[in-house]
Amino acid sequence: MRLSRLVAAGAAACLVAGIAACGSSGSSSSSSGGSSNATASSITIWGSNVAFWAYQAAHLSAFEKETGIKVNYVQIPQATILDKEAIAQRAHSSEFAMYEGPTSLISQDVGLLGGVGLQQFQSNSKLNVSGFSTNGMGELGDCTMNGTLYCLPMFVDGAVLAYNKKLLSKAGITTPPATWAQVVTDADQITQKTGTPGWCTRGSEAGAAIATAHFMEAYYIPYNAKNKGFTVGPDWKSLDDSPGALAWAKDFQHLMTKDAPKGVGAFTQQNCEQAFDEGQTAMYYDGLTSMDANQFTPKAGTPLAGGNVGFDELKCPTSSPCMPLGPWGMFINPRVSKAQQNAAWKFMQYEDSTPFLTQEIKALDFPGLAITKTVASEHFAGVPDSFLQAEAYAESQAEPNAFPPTTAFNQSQQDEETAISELISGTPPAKAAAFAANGANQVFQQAGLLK
Amino acid sequence: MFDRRFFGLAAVPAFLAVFIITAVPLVIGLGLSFSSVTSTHNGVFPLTLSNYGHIFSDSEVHTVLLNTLIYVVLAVGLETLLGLGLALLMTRKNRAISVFRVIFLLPLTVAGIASAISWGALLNTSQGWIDYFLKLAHLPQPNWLASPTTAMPSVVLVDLWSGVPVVAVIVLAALLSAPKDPIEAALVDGAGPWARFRYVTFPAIRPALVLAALLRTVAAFQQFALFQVLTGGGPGLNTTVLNFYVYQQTIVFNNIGYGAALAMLLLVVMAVPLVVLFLYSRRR
Repeated sequence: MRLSRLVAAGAAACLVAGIAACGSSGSSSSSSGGSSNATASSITIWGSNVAFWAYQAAHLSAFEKETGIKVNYVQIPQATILDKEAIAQRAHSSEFAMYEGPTSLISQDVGLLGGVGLQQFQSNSKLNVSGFSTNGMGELGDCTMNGTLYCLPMFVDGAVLAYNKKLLSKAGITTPPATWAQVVTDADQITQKTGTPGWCTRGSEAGAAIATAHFMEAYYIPYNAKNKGFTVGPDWKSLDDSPGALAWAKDFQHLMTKDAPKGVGAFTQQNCEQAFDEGQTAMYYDGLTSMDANQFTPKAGTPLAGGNVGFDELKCPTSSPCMPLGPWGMFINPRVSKAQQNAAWKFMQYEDSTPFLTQEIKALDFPGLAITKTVASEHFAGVPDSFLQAEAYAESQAEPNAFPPTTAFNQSQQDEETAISELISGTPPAKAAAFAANGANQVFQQAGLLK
Repeated sequence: MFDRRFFGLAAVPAFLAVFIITAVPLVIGLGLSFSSVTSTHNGVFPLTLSNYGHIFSDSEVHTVLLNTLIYVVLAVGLETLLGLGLALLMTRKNRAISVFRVIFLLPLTVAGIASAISWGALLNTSQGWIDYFLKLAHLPQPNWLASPTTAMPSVVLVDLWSGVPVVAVIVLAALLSAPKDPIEAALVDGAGPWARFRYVTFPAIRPALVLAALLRTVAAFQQFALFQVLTGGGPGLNTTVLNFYVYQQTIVFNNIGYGAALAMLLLVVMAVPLVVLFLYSRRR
């Protein structure tokens, strides 16, 4: 009897402690105005395990020599880095001074969990690193929320269409498509005349199909400066069932069910890239940073060898922008000391400095890192000019405020991801579009945004 | 008396360890299920019942529960049957039986995530080996992971690959340790193979079989890697099961309060078949 009372009391105490421990004021905890110039002698950064982070981790000796700051680089698999960071931020972790994350989630990272504004560091000349400047740096807008800059961009965002010239020629197509209507027509023609699927883009929920679907969808939904986001109207009502979105759903379904490789509903970015590299699909649509040496300088004897790859930018249908860019950025952790934050700021500047970026892009043949006009204007041997043109066009067509500054946006995409999968499975476009719109509206209603 | 007291004291560290790693998170999760932590609100208070209310109004929960039921019944049922069959086969006296036992039990040594990635590559419709050989044999090539009708059976198939050996090894141990006299007596009495199995062998291994089914039921409810890697819960919601849905709500969408409430639902849903199996095992 006595033991059971003790157990019951212990459980009740745990319940109270558990609720209290999980409580949080939730307020932004950016540091007060920076007058201290002290920098920590070592910092830890959390980055994903993509090729360019691995390169950077191995080439930091110049940074360490210039600043005296040792960088401990923690590589986290791309598939899980967002989950890990979300958990760490909720737990108020101070394990890392700097982390990378998508700017589309800036409202969650900063608004909900706290962020560090960068103006305080920019105004302190004693923290400057040579070769760094924000002049001509594209995509700073994506790093800005409510007028405050919270991150520095890591790479250029946007989508590009890569195409197999021989397959297009075999189907009787002399110029690559310039509009989505032409993409659909050309994909049909290639599939029918050559027997090779004319198109491929990610279809799997596990592969974040929504990313490339978003790039395509933005072309169809007219830009409106009053919109809260590229799929959210001025009144917070979802535009996923608007006439433009419906037209997108029809074209997307057509491409994915008639012209894509069999099983594309389970394809990740790597599957489509492999299919394209092996000549099993004529057109491959994905992010700029998905393209690499396999497409830029394919090995001899492969289906893409001999200048067989072209890159194409699809023009926005009107003079208004149509690119919902949301690159990843480098953010400072508000839970670390001022000295750590100063050191992280120096590291971020070094990462985005012109000499380092130029050296990195040349070493990796990865022009997606050309985040400033200065770097982008250089000619990189091994990178086709058509790709650089597509990259520059994407940046020039960035929609301001493409992603709503609310943490509810991420959740509102849940049903759109499901709807994309349903479209590939053959669900009528109107039904899938309505499902996505209803889900998003419910989320915005629960968040008190949609009346 | 001293022995009993000593035993009690000796069990305290183990009890504390189990209590800390099970009861404490459970209680904290229960507390969070009443909290207001959502994707737009980072505070625990005010406490609310709306997370549980949302479970009833969320139409996706009904789909998720149905998917969970289908997956658990299929996976556990087939694993138990096939595992039993495999164990019976492995009791045969055969010169190469040791080799066969090693081969059939090898999947036990492969990590779940590794098998998920490997099977994902094999089941790829355009680039995978399975459809390649099916095509060579002029057989239909299903759209394994991308079709609403074959996605869940594909996940079950992958789960069977590693789950059947688990059941087989437990049942094999019971078969090898079961007394031989009743079987010999049944043979002498002229009982056929089915009668011997039904009236002699099965009752002897029933506790082990129930244990194996219990373990596989828990594993089925906890399954995450296969759904995350193979399908991402898709196509649509066709392979979104409750455990995966909890992850989506809690980690991906930051609806921590609602995710915790779903986790409590998972606990209740898990308890039902476990209680049934437990009662069955106690039946004489």
